[in-house]
Amino acid sequence: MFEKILIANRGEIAVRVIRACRELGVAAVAVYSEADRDALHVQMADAAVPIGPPPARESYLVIDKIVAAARDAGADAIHPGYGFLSENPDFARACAAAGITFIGPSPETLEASGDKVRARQTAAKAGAPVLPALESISSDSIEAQQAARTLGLPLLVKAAAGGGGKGMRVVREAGELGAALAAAEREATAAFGDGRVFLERLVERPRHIEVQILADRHGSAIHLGERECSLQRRHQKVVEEAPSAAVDERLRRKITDAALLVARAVDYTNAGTVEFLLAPDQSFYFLEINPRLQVEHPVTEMVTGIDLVQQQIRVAAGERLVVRQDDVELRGHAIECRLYAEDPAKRFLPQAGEIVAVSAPSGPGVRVDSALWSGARVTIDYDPMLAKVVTHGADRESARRRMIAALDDFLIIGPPNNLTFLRALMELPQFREAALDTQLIEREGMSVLGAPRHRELAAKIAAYLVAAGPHPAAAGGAASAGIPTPWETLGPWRPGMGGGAS
Amino acid sequence: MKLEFFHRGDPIGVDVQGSGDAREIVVGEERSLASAVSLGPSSGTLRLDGRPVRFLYQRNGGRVRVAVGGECFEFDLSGESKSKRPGAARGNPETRSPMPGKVLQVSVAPGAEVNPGDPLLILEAMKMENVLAAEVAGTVKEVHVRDGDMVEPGKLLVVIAPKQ
Repeated sequence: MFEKILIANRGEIAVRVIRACRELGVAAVAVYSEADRDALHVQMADAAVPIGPPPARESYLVIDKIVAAARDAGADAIHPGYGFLSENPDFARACAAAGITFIGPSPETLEASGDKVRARQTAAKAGAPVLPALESISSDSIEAQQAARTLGLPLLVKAAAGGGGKGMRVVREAGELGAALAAAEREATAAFGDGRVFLERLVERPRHIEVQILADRHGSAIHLGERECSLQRRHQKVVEEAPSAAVDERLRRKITDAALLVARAVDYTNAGTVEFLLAPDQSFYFLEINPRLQVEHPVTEMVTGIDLVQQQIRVAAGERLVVRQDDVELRGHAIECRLYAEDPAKRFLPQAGEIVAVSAPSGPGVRVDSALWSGARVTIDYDPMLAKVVTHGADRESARRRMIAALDDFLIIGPPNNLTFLRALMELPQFREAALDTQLIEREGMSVLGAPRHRELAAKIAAYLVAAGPHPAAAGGAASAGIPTPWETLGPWRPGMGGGAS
Repeated sequence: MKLEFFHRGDPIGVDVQGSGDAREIVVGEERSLASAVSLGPSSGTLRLDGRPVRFLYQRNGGRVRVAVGGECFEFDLSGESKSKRPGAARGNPETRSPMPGKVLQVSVAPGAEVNPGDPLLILEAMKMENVLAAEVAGTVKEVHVRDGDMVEPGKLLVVIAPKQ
């Protein structure tokens, strides 16, 4: 086992990995940009190394800085989390060159997975079903128009180096193709430094189903069942669950078999995910390989009882998988909601600001992965995800009800967030009936935004607070600097004593 | 004690009666009895009509922010109404940049008719293309940026003359 692991990430996932390190008895080293000096992962780590200015391309994305930080801190392994450098083969190679273990698949596997066009070919060769596609295309070609006719509409433009919905465009009319290709190329160039795009036949009303894979370096590869991530906005997931209500035992066998075929074809080691689209007629198609830990990994952990991050670390340290396929059992149902600092009413525009106060839900079957604390700053430099709320229940309906209660219990004073929207999604009849597809949110439009339910209640509380006058602790208690004020010696404060009489 | 709050420009009449721990609070037609179970500098629990309600709050000058039941509301106590002008549109006719970023594409020109939700421009920030949309119906009066401009938060981008 490793002595010390450096976590090349920030936010909730860095906190998540630190927790796994603690449980394994491994020291955890954080890295942080100037924007994250006070971040929770920095507070929690055994040591923390500054790596530069706020923009990720000058800090979290600089391979040399991360590797140097690991070397200086004496770390013998690096966990990349998700995003940032997690899928970067050059980073994995740089780690190896420095004698540091990269906790993830080999650089070759990262390369084979990262290029979506190549991954598609590999999957097809391995025997997994794929969609008709045109793998080489550019925006200024007449060829694109002809291709559109050959493949048939609607089409999906995707970035070859893509991920997270960046560089993705739906084309429903031939006339839109040129603009869609141009926009996708622009976005892909900005996000990945690689503007290559390709065209794929669009599946209408598909469900997004993905299979969790775990593979060691000794030839053993297992799956941990599927997750459904059909609720998406802007091609990004907002709600995930395990197992999928659309997958029965027969389909599970077929889709997990296909996932393992793909994983073996790219010599997969460590934890990874093979994504598929499931059409309404139950046919499914390979989408991509995510060669890293997924944001939504907790739902799999909840239903299998397997700690994926600890497994990643053990496998990277050369251990054999102790869990065998027959040992994997899916118990109950888990749902995850992604809490974002964004304004759903403004097309989910990211928001920034200070978390003034926060109180997260807890209780049986409730898990919150977050890096939130009162005083945390949400900056525009990084992904605006604030927390993941995960609930587990005996069945889907109890997990759903538990989620609604948990969301109602999440109190945040800070930048606008999507809690009301998430709650509305949980109450949506289609969600209750598990009649999902990736276009559902877009199709429902404004009707799923959710209306505020507690305005009058909040007004009453505000009125009570105003009538009660300033709270002594807020109004100068700090000035006493350790010397008890009369207020403090009076015991629990009661309004009405504080001179706020109306 | 009669108060007038504003939530996003909408006035809410509030009346608080009594003194000490228990108060009677009237919001609109609703009358409630409230007493404090606990009250700290940024959080508390009130018993409202017999039910415990946990909340977080922040007071900042004439503003109170209250987080309750998974929602957060900001009330303005300053007494100024943002929407008392007759026929005023509910949305903001001025679109400002919410974050630093790059203008990828300006979709409208002065004189264009827009409806709420119509895209005005595409702003690239956080590596994503964000569509800034019109909040009110009307005619585009001013456009202050061009494709490729870098903008700072708060920069005035587009002004719409709201439809009467």
